[in-house]
Amino acid sequence: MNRVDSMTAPAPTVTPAAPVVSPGTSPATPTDGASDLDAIRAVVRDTLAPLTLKIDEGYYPAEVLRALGAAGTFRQHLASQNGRGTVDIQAALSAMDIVSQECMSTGFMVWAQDVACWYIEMSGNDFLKETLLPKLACGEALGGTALSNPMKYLAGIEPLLISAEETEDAFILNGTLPWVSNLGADHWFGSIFKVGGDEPRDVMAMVNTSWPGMELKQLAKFCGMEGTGTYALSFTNVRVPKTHVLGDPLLPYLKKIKAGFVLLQTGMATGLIEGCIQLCEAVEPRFAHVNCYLDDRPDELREELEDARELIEALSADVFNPSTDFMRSVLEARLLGSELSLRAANAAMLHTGASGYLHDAPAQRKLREAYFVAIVTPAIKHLRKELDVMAAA
Amino acid sequence: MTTNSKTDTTPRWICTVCGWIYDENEGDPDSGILPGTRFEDIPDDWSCPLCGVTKSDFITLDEYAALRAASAPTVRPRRARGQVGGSDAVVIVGSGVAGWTVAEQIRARDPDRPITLITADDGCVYPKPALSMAIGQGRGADELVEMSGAVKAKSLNVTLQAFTRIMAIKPQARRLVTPRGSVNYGDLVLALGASQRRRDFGGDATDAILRVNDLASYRRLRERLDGGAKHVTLIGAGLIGVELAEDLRAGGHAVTLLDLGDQLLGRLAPAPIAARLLDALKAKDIQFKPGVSLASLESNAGRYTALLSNGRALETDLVVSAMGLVPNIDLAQKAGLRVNRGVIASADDLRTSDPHIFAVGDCAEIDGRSYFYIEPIRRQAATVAASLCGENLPFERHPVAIRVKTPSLPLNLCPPDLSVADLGGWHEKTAAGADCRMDFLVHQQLVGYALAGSCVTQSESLQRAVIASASSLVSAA
Repeated sequence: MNRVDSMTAPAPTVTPAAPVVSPGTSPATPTDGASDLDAIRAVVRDTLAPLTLKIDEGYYPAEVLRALGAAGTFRQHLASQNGRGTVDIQAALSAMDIVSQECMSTGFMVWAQDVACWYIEMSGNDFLKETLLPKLACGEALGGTALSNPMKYLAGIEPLLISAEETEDAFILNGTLPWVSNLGADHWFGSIFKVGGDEPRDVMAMVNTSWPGMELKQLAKFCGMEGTGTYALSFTNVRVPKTHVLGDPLLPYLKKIKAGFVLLQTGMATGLIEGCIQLCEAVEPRFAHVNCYLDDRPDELREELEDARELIEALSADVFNPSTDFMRSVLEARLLGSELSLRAANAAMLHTGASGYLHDAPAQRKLREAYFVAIVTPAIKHLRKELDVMAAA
Repeated sequence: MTTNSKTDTTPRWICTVCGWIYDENEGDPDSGILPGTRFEDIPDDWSCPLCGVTKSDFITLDEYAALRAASAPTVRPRRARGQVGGSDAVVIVGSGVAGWTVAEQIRARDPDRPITLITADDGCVYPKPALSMAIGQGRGADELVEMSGAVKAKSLNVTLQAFTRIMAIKPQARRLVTPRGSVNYGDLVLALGASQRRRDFGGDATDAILRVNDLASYRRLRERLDGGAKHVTLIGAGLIGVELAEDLRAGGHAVTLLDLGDQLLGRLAPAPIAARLLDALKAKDIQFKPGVSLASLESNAGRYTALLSNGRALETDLVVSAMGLVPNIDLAQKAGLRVNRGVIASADDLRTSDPHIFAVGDCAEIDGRSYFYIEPIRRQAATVAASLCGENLPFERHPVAIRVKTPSLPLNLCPPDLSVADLGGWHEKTAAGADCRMDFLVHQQLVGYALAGSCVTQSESLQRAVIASASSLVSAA
């Protein structure tokens, strides 16, 4: 398949492109990533696009996520689930890119679901691989990641907020995590906690939001991304059976998942940037004569986006490379995604002018989404800190 | 390159007052106009949903675009092209002596050429040779800074993009990719420098080993030396190793110098000169262990235990590795430029295998050699600037005179060019105590020399003689 073409294809909402596989021919095999992407485009056009505004205002689109899951969105990077038997980060990114072009809130939830699957796929836990992973990979079960705090903990930015006591067959968790996303009743998330007692260490496990002692609190109201099922998570003596452990010892496991975790986020950024460029392009007939006085014209942004996509694709093909240089490149690619998102969204506002400033205009929504790319963990400041530490080594 | 402009031909009408667009496919359902309604068929009492004007204020989008296009500028306004890079700009990567000297040399020839300098650090100007003599002088990292990057850039009318690493070079598109976005260039000058060679030592403290090759790493060294006399282990007794050993000692620290070879300055100095330097360093209580390197480094109660390759152990506070410089070629290699140990550049104009990319300084390799010293690097910078400004100023591959900054016994070394090194040998010319002059002769011609003590005053005249004979011998070889 030609991945670049499939990624840069027009946004489903702008151009109802003819499907590559015409209806009536035999159904595509589930192992074909390209036909999955066509199915994902159809879900975005028919199911997601009508809800984009509602999601921005706070509606959690479970039905969209389940439809995206059925279309294969969450299994692309999973060798055990995608039918191709290979880790295909690039295909997962293409899927997230397509979704994020229309609605980055949903793109973010695709990422959350993708990494929840990634945690299990990369673990040695056969029980979860057989029971939970297939359900998460097809969207039958939904879930996310509570790794913002642990990622900051590992970068020396803040302490770990969840503590645990160990029993013979379980860990008992206590503490509170602020804003964890893609949650609801009976959702799953990956959690890292500090184990006390005789053998103090950090451990990671899958936890269910409906287990006794778990409470979801919707305390904050954000200026965007309101439909992403984001809650403060409170743990009161939550019993996590050892059958649900993902990483213990934690560090070697985290080393294995980190590049994928960070790289997968870049699909949100490339999709958002693509969407912003399309908004700029759409007003060319009206404003080209004066928009040429602006920085970051759509053709220039597109060159930069293609450079970024090319770079990310190369990194995606090498996701288990253990070298420091590789991790530096991954962090730099993620940083580039944030910087370009901010510029592209700024350009979308300036290019579209008053029509982009309307209450329901996509440009102002994308501006708020762009700031999310730049501040969600790892935020720009977090990435720069990690890169500085690497430069000094 | 894909584009996403609308390809359908459905007429679209635009409100000339507010810019709202009526698309016949979409209609205006909020006003009861169904999708598919032709503009002509809209009732006359309908009004623009955004600003309230009537149908008569609408024209087709095509007409509108044609009207507006007439007022568009024919070229992209300079104001909007940004300040960083550009297809008419020279982009220099690296802010060491090589990078800044290229900027100076271009500016001296062309006051108007747009120049952008991109650097991973802050771009400040400092004398790099001072890094191995500043401890004894009691100068901290900040005191070595001669000028901030911003001031230097302003003085040369150069756009400085600091704290920006290059992620990729795209020679076909003439673009660089950085974490801040892409940068276009007309011509690119790579002044990427070199790095201290790395080796995997064992032990839990191997990450604590320092390498001093720029101001930032020098600052880290000084931080680690704070708070009283320390014991420092230096791996490698080359130029940087011996200079740092003497400088650390002058700063009051104890020093053990390790080298796998059997003498100091193994690649640069003949044995009698190296032996004299060793006597001088020993007199200052600097320990030298020939034939020995580090095997592993373990932390040990706030200090380190260095396990040596000879089986001995050494308690130490700090380990500095100085095993020689390796040109930074990674970016160039990934971009498909021809590389060997360095980025291969032609002596004529320092162009690499890509006609719009030049290499200069520590990262460059010219006829199989890299030049890690200030004097040839300044000449390389002049060559690059000249060729970028349409002049012809080939880089002369002279043997390089190296002043070794060891105050207890000053040395001046000019090792023979590698192409003739096996054709001749060293001859002792003067020897009186620590003072010594040795000549390297090939067919009775002087192609190299080594001076110690008071003999260093002869270096200028000997250098002229070497340059005169080298040109004939090197071209013959």
